[in-house]
Amino acid sequence: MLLHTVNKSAFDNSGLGDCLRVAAPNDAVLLIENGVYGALNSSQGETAHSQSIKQLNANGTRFFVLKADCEARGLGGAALLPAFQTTDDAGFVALAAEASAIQSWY
Amino acid sequence: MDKQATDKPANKDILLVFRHAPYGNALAREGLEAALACGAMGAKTSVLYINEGIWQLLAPQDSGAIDCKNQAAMASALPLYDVDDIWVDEASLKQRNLSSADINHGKIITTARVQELLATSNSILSF
Amino acid sequence: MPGNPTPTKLFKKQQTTSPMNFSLLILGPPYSTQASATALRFARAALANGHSIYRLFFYHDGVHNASALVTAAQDENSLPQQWQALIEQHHLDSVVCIAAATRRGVLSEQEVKRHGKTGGNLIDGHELSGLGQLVDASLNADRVITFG
Repeated sequence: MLLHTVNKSAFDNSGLGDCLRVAAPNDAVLLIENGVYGALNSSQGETAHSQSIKQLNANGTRFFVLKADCEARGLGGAALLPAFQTTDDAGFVALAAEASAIQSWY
Repeated sequence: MDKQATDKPANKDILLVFRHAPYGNALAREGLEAALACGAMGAKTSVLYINEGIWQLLAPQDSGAIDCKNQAAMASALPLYDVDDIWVDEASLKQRNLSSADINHGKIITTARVQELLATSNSILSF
Repeated sequence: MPGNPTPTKLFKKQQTTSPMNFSLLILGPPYSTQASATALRFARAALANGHSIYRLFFYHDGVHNASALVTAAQDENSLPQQWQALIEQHHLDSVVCIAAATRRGVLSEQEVKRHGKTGGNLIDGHELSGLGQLVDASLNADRVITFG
């Protein structure tokens, strides 16, 4: 099980898309820093990445956002894509410990 | 600083993932230097070129006019440091309208093989 | 923000993970990007949750986290000072890549003399050394994680 971290916004950087292409069913993807924007749910329809996320999640890939980064950016109460769970720094460490290795997309 | 070698499995390896183009910033160069150091220290080392890292593989490169160390020339030293597992992501090549004819080293692999590479690595250094 | 969101599930560590020994590769400078601040929070959380840190390796622009001349505004925190405090408090092994540091102007007193300059700025607690330390840090820790 690999942990992927993505720290750039899906709207200006290919990092999330690149990550999703290689993410595997038992991997975990954690959005941190500006990466958290990629977790936002929109009433206006699917984005390029939301379909991939839904599909990967259906196959077992877990998705997380870092709470501190959401709150900093005014997204604390925002609607996230259904696949996402929020986690904190301790959760980040736990995911890194659980993983066989960590790939950082930045 | 002296570190006690811990009781680690002898088959620990290092995979360096190169995602950035050369010259625009120092990640390509410094990632490559790290890979050469891994090889020099006798670590079982693999390198994966993916996404914008693909551009590092174009050759020849003539970096004289921009006064930078030649990335392609440095990369040619990888086998000299026993780094022979050099992988190139096929999808990244295609995305950039490149083919095997355009790149000067490395074995082209599918997404499935990239996933396998990542899944079986003990340590990944992301550049 | 759109809609009335279903409360997002909060993921908390479900079971105790066995203690891990982490190496951190820090590539981002203080202030300009968030990478180093994230790395610091990760390091603190790891130590607070029963894990250990094998080595901090500052490389690429991350070397600036070891510069004593980085001076935060009065109402802001200094990442270099926070890293130094963590290193001292937990007796952490912190290495700054000498080549990356030298070319970016982070030098110890010794290096300054060697290059015929004045004004060393390496913060105490960091050791200037080569990439061999990164290789060792990757091979001998349980996990290595890059902050870039």
